[in-house]
Amino acid sequence: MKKVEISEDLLRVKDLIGKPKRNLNESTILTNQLKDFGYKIEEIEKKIENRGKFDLKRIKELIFLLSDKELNANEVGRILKISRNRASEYLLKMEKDEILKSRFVGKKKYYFMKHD
Amino acid sequence: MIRGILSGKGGVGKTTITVNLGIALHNLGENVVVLDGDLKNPNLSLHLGVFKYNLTLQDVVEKDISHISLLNALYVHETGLRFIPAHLSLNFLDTDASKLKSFLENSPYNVLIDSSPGLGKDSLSVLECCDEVFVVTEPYLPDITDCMKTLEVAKDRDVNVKGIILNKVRGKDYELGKEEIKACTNTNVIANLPFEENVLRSLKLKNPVINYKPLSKVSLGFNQLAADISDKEFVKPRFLPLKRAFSFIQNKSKSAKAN
Ligand SMILES: Nc1ncnc2c1ncn2[C@@H]1O[C@H](COP(=O)(O)OP(=O)(O)O)[C@@H](O)[C@H]1O
Ligand SMILES: [Mg+2]
Repeated sequence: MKKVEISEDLLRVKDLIGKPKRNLNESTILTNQLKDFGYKIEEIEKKIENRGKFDLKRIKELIFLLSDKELNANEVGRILKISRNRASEYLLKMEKDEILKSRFVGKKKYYFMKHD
Repeated sequence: MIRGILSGKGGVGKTTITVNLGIALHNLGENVVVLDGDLKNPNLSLHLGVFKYNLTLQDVVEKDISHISLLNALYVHETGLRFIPAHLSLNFLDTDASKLKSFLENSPYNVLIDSSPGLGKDSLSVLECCDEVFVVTEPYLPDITDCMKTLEVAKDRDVNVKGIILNKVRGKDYELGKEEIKACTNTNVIANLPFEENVLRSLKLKNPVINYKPLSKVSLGFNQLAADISDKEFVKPRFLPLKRAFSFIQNKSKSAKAN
């Protein structure tokens, strides 16, 4: 394949633009906090197949939330201000991708972080 | 699925693309709604030909009443396209776009959002809502520069960037080429839409170009893009030159009769 020539002007502006200041955005802050918690976040990200309609930031929030407690879909929905259904979709997806585990207490299903 | 149409620069064709891509997706059978997320300068309704609505996006977002949902501000265009318009009034200048996200979670539709340009608060709020985004640009240095900024910020926020939509392409030597843009931005150029007067005429007629001139190159471009992003096959109409000639003659005789 022929190598594409990029004009000098474009390369110069690209260099000037640089990258957004990291750790100013919530997603990165979350990642760092999770790393502090000892999570291998890159490995977790790799586990998430076919992200589709699932938001990575939301997934990280869930990991954070469930790292030290067990919650059901209702509670998760309330805390993250999303509907119970949407919370459920995330929890099921993350369970399927083997990030979370769950157990039943009565009829309610409680989720928690899987520590291997 | 929430998709956003973003851009660095203004006037590059976001609203045009939102409307026409929306219609193309609708025609492919996708359950799609287009939403005017350019809250400071909402233009979607201008492209669709009706300017005033009883209830708009801002009414829903501002009132923040629990039983009121965006579906209350949903209208259907004569093409069948479902859309959620925003009010033109300056009274709504302060509507907080960051509230949008909560209204969109759980949407039964695939939503296509027309964003404001640049990296202001409103655009970032729209970005936060999206599962995937498209960044529109014209093939010139300032446009691509601003486009790169938007791309970087989107990627930084874990939003899936589906590609760049190159618009108003005239195929001139003073334009930056598709391959060069792709190589420099490390981003796929997912569509290459020509500059066409039909688009400008369609705006005057308040009839989206895909409806007004369905066989034009730009309209076929919208159909192709819609097929690509919804994993459907694009079937290019057969005997295109013949069909174009025929519709040209038909229009001629129509306008002769009208005179
Ligand atoms: N492919 C095209 N060919 C010719 N004119 C176009 C094309 N796309 C958009 N335009 C025109 O460019 C102007 C700005 O388009 P618009 O969609 O309002 O941009 P934005 O929403 O990004 O500000 C409009 O007059 C529109 O008709
Ligand atoms: Mg616009």
